[in-house]
Amino acid sequence: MKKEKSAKPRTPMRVVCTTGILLFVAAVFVAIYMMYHNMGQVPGIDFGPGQYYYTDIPGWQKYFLPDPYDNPVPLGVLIALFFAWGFLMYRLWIYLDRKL
Amino acid sequence: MSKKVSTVSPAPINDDVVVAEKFQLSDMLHKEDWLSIWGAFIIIAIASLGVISGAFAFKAGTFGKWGNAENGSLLKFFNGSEACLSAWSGILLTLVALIIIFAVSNQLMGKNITRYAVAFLALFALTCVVRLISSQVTFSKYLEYAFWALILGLVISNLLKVPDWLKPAIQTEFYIKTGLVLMGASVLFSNIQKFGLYGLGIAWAVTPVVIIFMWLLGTKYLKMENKRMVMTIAAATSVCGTSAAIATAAACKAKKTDLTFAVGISLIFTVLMMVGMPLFCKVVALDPMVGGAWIGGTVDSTGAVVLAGNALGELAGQVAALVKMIQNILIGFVAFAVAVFFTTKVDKTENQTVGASEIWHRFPKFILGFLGASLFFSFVFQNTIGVEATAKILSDIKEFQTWCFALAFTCIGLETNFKEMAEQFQGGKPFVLYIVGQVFNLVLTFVVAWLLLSGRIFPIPNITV
Repeated sequence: MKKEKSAKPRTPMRVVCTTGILLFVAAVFVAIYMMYHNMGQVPGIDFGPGQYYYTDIPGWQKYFLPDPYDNPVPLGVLIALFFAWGFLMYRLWIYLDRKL
Repeated sequence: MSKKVSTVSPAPINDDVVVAEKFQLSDMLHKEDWLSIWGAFIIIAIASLGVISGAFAFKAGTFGKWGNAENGSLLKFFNGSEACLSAWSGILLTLVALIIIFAVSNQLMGKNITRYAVAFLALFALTCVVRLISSQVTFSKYLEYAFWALILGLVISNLLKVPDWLKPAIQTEFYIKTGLVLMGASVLFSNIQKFGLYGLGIAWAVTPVVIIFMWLLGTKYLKMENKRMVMTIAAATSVCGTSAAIATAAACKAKKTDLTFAVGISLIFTVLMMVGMPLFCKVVALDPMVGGAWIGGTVDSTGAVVLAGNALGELAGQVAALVKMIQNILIGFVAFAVAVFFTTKVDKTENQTVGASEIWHRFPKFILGFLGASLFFSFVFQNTIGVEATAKILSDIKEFQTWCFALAFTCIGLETNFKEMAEQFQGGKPFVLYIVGQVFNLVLTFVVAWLLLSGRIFPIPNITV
């Protein structure tokens, strides 16, 4: 099997990739700084990025169970739109993947 | 009989090539995908029975937070106090439930049950260490188990050596699939109506466009050979971070290092976006509703979305949660589409047509369990036992899901070496893919949120706070 190592980028791409790596390294340091200084916290909320999914949030019902918006559109219409858009995008994905 | 169907993409999780086996009815009792569905369904059924009957609570244990004056020190879990007994009794129940389910499944798969059980005990002990570390107050807020499981596993596998007797329990995919079927129950499709057309427009109109953009960027422009990694990173960026990465990686049979990379980069940038986006919104005096929707549609982790949204105010917090709630629904459907795409387009040899029966043979069956649990909870349970009881069941099974994922990430760490990880960096292309993809996601979501919620074109929705 071909080694992925051989996919080393060419010069213009190397500049882009090096920039990407540098940005990532900078992001790591900034994130560590932010976590160390407990940044981004809101009084009364004792969770954050560590709660990946909504049920990971302590007392998630408080945030996700209420219905704060009175939706006038029937569920059937939303479901139809959901699947229609999903189908359209899937076809577009296949088309672009083949054509480009 | 097995047959070779592809060498198009780099090696998937188990082997160098994707192998499709003809489906037989007996597979439902002997194959990992099906057994993960049955195992998860057993947990869901017992937890549901407990809630509906009110006779008992079938809930996995966990460690409470520690590490500050309010929560006490780590020692509280080892000093025989009430907190200590409560935590360990719950964890013991978890161990018993999981070892029965996984060991019996291994027996059905034709593996040695005794060797598996011994190894699982050790793996579970390691995962306990992971969960104990990640319960520290700061770690639990920012990083949680996935990060620490990978770190601990990597340290053991790279500095020490993973002993042979532990290897029977290292079954990453099995734990992921079981956790995903459990997660399926909490993907409530009925939530699609919570924010009506506005929510659908922001969450669903943007997500597939970002996925397609990142796919083309990764495979056509950056020419990344590892298409499974491109897909996993795209899903993590556009849907909802770690959870979507796990589901998509399993659906397209990505390498463990692909998932590790996607989760790692998503966690790092989530911290940055969670802090930076509310600040930016305040500086440019962005409307809270637009800002909340923008945060909900772009920040990866759900916890960070609620937090960042509330940093902009209660209204923004509510809108952010509504948008993210709809994005959470997408996990199953995106995983399904990805599985079909890889089955029919990526994993086929040139000039080969893949018919419906072949799709069925190759299709990762656990996704059916995921969607089945989702549809059942969305349209049957919620309408019969009520929203509150459904929420109680979801809360009870949630910790089992977390344990399954924590076990999986510990396994990934134990199976990964630094050299292999370094090779996956492909000169830095995955970093470019994530950063450019996330910028595109930020711009597109902002445009759609502004168009829908600024009041310039459409009426501003009335949100009760």
